[in-house]
Amino acid sequence: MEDTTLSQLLSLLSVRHLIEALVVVALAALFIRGVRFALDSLAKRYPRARLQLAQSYPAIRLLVWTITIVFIVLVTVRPPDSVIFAMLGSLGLAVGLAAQDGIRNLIAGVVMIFNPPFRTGDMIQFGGHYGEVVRLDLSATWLRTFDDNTVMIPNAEFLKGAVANSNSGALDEMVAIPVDLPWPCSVAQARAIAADAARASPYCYLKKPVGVTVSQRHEHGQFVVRLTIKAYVVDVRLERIMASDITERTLEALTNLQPAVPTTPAATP
Amino acid sequence: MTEGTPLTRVDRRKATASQLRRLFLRLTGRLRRSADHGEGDNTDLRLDFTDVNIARIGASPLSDALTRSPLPAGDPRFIPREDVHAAITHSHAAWREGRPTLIALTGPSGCGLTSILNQTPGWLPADTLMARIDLNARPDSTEAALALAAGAFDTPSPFDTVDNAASQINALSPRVILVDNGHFLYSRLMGGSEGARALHGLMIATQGKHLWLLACETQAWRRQCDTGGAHRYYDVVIETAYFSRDELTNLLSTRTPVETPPFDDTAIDAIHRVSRGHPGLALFIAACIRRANTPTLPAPFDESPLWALERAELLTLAEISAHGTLTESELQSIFRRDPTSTSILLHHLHQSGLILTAAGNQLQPLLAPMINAHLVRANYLY
Repeated sequence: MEDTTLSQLLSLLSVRHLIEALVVVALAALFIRGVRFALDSLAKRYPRARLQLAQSYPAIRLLVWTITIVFIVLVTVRPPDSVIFAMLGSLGLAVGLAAQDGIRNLIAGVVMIFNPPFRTGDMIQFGGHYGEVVRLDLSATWLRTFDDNTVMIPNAEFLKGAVANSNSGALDEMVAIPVDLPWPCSVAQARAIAADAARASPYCYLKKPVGVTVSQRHEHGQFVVRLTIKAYVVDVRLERIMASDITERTLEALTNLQPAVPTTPAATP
Repeated sequence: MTEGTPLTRVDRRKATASQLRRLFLRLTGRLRRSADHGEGDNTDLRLDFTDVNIARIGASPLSDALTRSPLPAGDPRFIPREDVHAAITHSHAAWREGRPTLIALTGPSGCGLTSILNQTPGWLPADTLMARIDLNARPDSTEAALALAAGAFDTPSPFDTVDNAASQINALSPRVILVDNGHFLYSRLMGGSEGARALHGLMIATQGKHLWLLACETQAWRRQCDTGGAHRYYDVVIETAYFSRDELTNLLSTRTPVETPPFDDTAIDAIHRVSRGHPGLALFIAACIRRANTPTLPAPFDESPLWALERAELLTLAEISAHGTLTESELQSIFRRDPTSTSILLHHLHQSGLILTAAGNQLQPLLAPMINAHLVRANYLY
């Protein structure tokens, strides 16, 4: 029985089948590259829809490769049932035995396609890294941080720990900007200035509300009042620019009020 | 394509191929000025922003056609806006019956809001008392807003507070107050909304006695709603738009000299499609067609200058569009840029034909329908 299956399998590995399979794989790869190019072009043309376009790519790629494998097996090679069952058994055994990091990451990647904690274009915080998801592969996810570093994180890691997603598929996201004032100070006046500074920033998304919360802290032996300006940025990529712009405006306006409202820049949390 | 000339099969094939090529170039953002101009007689009338800009600043006789001068009351060239007329007269009747009313009339830049406002007294009963505030700058303080109100009501002494102003205005006999150029009530400058708040406060405090009608460009109105919740205080918001095809047909017939032949349906369709119903632009295109030696139809505007803009330029253009108009110094404050870099950036926008400088050094977007659509698509305007 085993000899028969093996001989059937070897008979299927003809040069013709190999060439046909390679051609199909090459066509699939070419098609995926074409899809990528088309999606990138569309994203440039319609920046407002860039997240949705980027998010569709992983699913399309998985679909194309699945169809390619099924096509090669069932249409090009066309093995007898006994060989298919034997291959499936071997594959199952391999997966079972070698469920090591690679397989685990692949499975995690597939799980994340159907139950995504984030999508391409989202701003996420994970394992000490904060950045934009620029690429979602089957085995790994790539982030670009605001320092322009690219961080590769194996997909299996995401299923173990908590991921903070700042925008969940939207182009805008809330940014919290802390500003500390030494106590005593005119809190109401400072709060009004902070809110005005946020609305004045050209990067602030005005369709969503601007809020300022006040809390008291004790730092370096003195009481300080912390204003946290909460405003939405019009595009996640402008997050740091907006935070800097609002901080600058707030500090400048508060400085003009000195000595009534002295200011101290807050330490970055 | 030339009108009236029968096309051969080869011509049709060439035309289709040309259209497909343009479509591809446009989709890939590679359409450049004059790159897809046809040759010989089969040339579409292709315009770009710079053509319009040059015409606007008076270097061409076409500038007359593009005039944005509002039409005075009773001008026969005014194209009736039946829905706006009905909404205003209905709101006026409700106000006369005792219902406190604030009306906002909104529409895209260049759709003719001032002309509509000019016609309004003629739509109301003859015994209606009228007052008018024409904003031509941002009222950046309460004092500035109160001075505007005092001017509109011809009060002997200036108002000192909003409460005093409201009580004095409420003591006057009921009247309809028209406020034009409402886009000046929106300001992104720090502390710049104080005057607008005072004027809105005055309107709300006196709406039981007087009927206020504010005309405001759509983008500035949206920002006022987003930042100040203006939509919650206005009982009636009348939204108008650029001209429909029928209104554009009327416009072209009223503005076409009697001795020239009228445009046929194909030409009107093309003008409406390219101008997107913007009356000034439609008249400009019509004048260009008249001036051309061969009969031509307009092709879509070449928008490649918009695609070439960088983020800072797009943000600047978005703020100018959202405010309706901005001065150079206001732009410097909004973006915290130094005068030199602001001048360089604005010079580039001028050169690209995207903005023009109107009276009072006010910067305006040149072709609002195209520019706003692009900015919305690029997520810079909302």
